[in-house]
Amino acid sequence: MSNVNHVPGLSNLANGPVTHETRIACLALPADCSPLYNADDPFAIGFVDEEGRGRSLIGCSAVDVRCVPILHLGRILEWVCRYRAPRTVPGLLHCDGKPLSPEAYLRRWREALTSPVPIVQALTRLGVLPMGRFRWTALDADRGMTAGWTHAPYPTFGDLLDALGPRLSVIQRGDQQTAIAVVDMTTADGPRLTWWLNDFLSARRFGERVACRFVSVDDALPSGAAATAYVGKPPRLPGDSQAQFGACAALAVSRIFAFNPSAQGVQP
Amino acid sequence: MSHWIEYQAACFVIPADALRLPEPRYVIAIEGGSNNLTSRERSGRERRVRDWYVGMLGTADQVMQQTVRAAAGCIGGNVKLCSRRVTPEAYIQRTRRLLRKPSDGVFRHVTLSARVAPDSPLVALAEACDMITWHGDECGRPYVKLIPRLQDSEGWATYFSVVESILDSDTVVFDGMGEVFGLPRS
Repeated sequence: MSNVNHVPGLSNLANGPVTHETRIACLALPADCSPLYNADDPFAIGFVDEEGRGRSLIGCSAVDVRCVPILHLGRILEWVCRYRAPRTVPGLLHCDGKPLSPEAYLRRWREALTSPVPIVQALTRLGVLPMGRFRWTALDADRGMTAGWTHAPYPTFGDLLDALGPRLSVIQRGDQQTAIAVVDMTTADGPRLTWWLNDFLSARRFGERVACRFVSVDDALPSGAAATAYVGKPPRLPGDSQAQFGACAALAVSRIFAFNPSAQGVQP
Repeated sequence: MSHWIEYQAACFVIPADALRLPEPRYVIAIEGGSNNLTSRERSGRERRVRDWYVGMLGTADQVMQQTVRAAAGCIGGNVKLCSRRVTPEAYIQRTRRLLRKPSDGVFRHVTLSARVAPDSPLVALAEACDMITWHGDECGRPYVKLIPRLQDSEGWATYFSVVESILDSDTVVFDGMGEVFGLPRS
């Protein structure tokens, strides 16, 4: 336990203006996404929409660009209880236009957690597109790095990069190679690639070479929207999803280059 | 797995007029301890260690906010009541019950203090308010303990005015917010 009663520099979520929560949702990840998957307490990504504050991902702070909030359902509820539910006590958090007790707020989340939406249906059922976004300074030597798990689907980092295929772009600037991966998590292998890429890039050897690794949950763009710029070739998707993914990916890449975490919609 | 067990709790109220503050303040004293630390009594019986400490502190709203944060520990089984797993809702309900029937006589059982980092602005504020500032070091981490000059209503009025921002914070750690004594052991 810390020897001070107050840890400075962290936000004070228990105070501030009244916010209105308009939607909470949970995206369930498939069983093959991680070796830590537990069928009794599966992995999910939780998010909340608030009027005036935009979207927040459960488990991430406002300015965290190294946060892949793939959490067990129990951990999501724990995070909600620790950081969001206290705001209901002084009436600073409203749901459906009215204040509620912390117990009622937890009940609301329990209901959401009992029927999470499969992540492959995020676009069709919730109109959102979860994306894994990564940027790091690449070295050729990294390809040989082995996974820290037995029976890993990607035994080496090189295997993972090969599996990413067109979702990976490498930009040469002088002597430096910058790798950018934008992974659509609604695809069959998207959650698994995101989890493993985050796992590899969390290794100490990458250290400060990782500029960002995070998940964003973007609103799906109108089906007529088209990409204006894209680095690398987007994967083939059926019908309107193709244009949607291209547009979102372009947005994602532009955001990564802008490197403005507050624009990623990950603020709590 | 290591977890924290809360054996019993008591609630004390400090009336608003005694503190000359708009709202009464509450102290929730908790007897608790780690599940994997034991001591041996004279009879030879091994028993889990437990102590009374200040668990929550402040206005009714502040106490409830601190309770809800602490209740998060119940979800993963890190916090248990009398060795039993409970839901966060049950943990919150316990504090609601305690707040409904607070006891008097807080000055007989509780002394208040606060540990802050040496660079905290509260240190200068406490010195300006004539509180005792005691510099300490724990495992290489320096801290300053802020102690009211008198453990009475006047001293506590000063104390609450200084530490108000801590009690509102979501990062408050209730280690060293005071001492509890004279309450029956479980």
